[in-house]
Amino acid sequence: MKGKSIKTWIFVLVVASLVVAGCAPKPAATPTPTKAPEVAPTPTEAPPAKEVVDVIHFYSVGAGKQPLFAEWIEEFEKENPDIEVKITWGGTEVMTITRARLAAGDDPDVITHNAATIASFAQEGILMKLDDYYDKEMNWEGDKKWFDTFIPGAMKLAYIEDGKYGPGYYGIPYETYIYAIFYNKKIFRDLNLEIPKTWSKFLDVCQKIKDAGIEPLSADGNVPYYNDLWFTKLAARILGWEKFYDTALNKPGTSWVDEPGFLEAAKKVKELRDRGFLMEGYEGSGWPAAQIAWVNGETAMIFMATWLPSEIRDQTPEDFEMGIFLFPMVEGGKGDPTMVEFKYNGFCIPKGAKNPDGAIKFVRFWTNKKNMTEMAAAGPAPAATLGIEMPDSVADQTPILEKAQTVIGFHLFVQRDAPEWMDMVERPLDDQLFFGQISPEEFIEELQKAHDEYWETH
Amino acid sequence: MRTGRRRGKTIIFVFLAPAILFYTVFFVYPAADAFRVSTWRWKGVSFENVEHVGLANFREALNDKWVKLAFTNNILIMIGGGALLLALALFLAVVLTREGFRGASFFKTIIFSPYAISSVGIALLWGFIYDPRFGLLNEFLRAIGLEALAKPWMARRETAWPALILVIVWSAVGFFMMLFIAGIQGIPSDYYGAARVDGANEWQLFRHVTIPLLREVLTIAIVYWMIAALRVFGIIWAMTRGGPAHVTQTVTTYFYHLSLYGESRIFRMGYGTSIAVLLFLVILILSIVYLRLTRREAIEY
Repeated sequence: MKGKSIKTWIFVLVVASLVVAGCAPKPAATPTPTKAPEVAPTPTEAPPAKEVVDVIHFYSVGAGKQPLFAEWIEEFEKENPDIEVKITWGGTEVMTITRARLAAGDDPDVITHNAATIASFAQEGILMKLDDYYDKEMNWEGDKKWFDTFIPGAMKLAYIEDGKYGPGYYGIPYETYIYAIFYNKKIFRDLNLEIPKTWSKFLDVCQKIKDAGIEPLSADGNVPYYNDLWFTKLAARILGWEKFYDTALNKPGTSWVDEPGFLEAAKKVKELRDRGFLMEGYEGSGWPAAQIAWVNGETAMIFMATWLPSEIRDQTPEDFEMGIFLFPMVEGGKGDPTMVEFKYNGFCIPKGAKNPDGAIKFVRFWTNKKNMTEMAAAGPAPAATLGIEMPDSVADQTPILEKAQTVIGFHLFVQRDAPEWMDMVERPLDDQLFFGQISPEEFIEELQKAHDEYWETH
Repeated sequence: MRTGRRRGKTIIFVFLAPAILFYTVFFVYPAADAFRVSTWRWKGVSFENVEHVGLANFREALNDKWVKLAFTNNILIMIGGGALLLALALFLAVVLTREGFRGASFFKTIIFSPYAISSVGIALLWGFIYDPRFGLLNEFLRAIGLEALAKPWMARRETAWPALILVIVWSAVGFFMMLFIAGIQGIPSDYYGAARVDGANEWQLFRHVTIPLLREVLTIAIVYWMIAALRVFGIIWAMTRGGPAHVTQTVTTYFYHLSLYGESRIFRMGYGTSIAVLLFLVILILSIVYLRLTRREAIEY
């Protein structure tokens, strides 16, 4: 028994010592004696610690323009040997990574995201205002004020009126997008079609394409925020975007039911389906099947943001010619026919950034002329800075923006200011309308009901 | 003797302590902390913006039509999917344990293999199969002259759910089949021999020997399935994101959608967590009730 007791304690001590040894810090290496050198070595100083710029980017490794961006980071480090860029390629997990780090108080120096997310971060008080930097910094080339190198529309979105630390600039755009209708130039040329400026002409174009045995419109039914582009844009053309916005946000005196323009918009969505203009099986189609069908010439048009060319770059045949046109005006509509929805992807700097000056230096480099030109060509992606040649595929983005009298955020700003309403009230019903599961009248009625229920508790 | 037992307990504690500590810090504490977060109005980013709202999130969740729909969908998976899954797994287990069945190992491997594939891989595969334009299913239906049956499977709740349940059953049947095989192989063959001598046919053998002696395994399988059906996330999220129109949301996809999903930008961490806490309570209560109801003396061989 006694022997057993001793063995037991030896066992316990062995296990405990293994655990402690595993947890203990590595002991310093015992210096081994060396032969005394003939000449005393010159004392060398340790190299100075590099300044770190900690960046979270929302691309994943290998996706889209990421290899190009990785090259830029290497170039930046070469040009600035005292700076090390610690880059996290977040991909689809970028929000989880970003939010976890922010919640833990481990703010990165730079966060990459889209305009709406940057706006919501600004409203939550996560970001620092950048006005001082914009006031004093020059561009990377040193020949112009950095602020003046950006497209005015992009800076308009980067300015957040209700930022927690006051109105000001919270974002740094580097690429910009609009929603537009992409079309197959060859099909239009072969059928002698003109770009439609009005809704009735758009329907005529769709009919001619259908009569030629081609499906007019691509759509992936499993993407609700693409499905509802039709209803929201039609409503904006008929009534003006502000009407949709005010009604969505339940401003006094607004109503879905009492404003006939909304029903008219819903009826026009139904017409697209009834006349067979949407590709077969679109209701059950999963992204990116619709884009692939379009670029393979199975359909003629797709309503999409101008990130489309870079998304399908690898699937696009070399001889495929694409163009864009602005969503057509509805005859008799009150909305601005030049209105365009605009978005940027860019950077923001958390207020807890350890190296905000380094961060600004990094993003000034990122938005230099050489990089923006490369990105526009290779993306292909429209740059947020002036004087950069647009990629051919979206060359019309610049004139569209230049002519636009109204430039607003994506999804009529409702996505930014009432995302839960849009996601849980409007889009589920819009999907049913878009798929022909409910009539326009039922859609408006149900929308009003769900809208009222939502705002009673929110 | 008492000293020996105490010593034994000490050793057990010493060996288990690191694992218990790790589990407590990385699993138990965050799970318990969920109860705290569920009483907040919070976007999940800055702790400066936390608002304590007591049980308001729970009150909202209990009145939320989407929560009710999500729970209904989980019950659909549990009962509809469960019936199909367990029946199929049991059938396959009985067939593959028959004496003289050739190629049993090969079939076990093939049937089990989907269980080893990740949810995303399964979703990609079945997404292609169900694609309305070029998917295998619709192309097959068109090829055999049944074009009228070729439809956009994921477009409506009525067709999306059978399609999803089929995928879930396909991916999980192998695991349950192996569970039942292990149970059946543990039944002494003498019982079957004796029953055959008494004139029992195959169905009677199955009903009066296999099922009773498999009761404990069946209980474990049902509890495991109930929990799995309530917690299902990966396949649903990867295939539909809970759409279209949120009709395929389950409780887990719904609270993920509300609290963490970047595309929706809702970011209601506190509210989403309260739904997760409700799910935890439902699983706990269901498991306890079921185990109590099925508690009986174990059958001794």
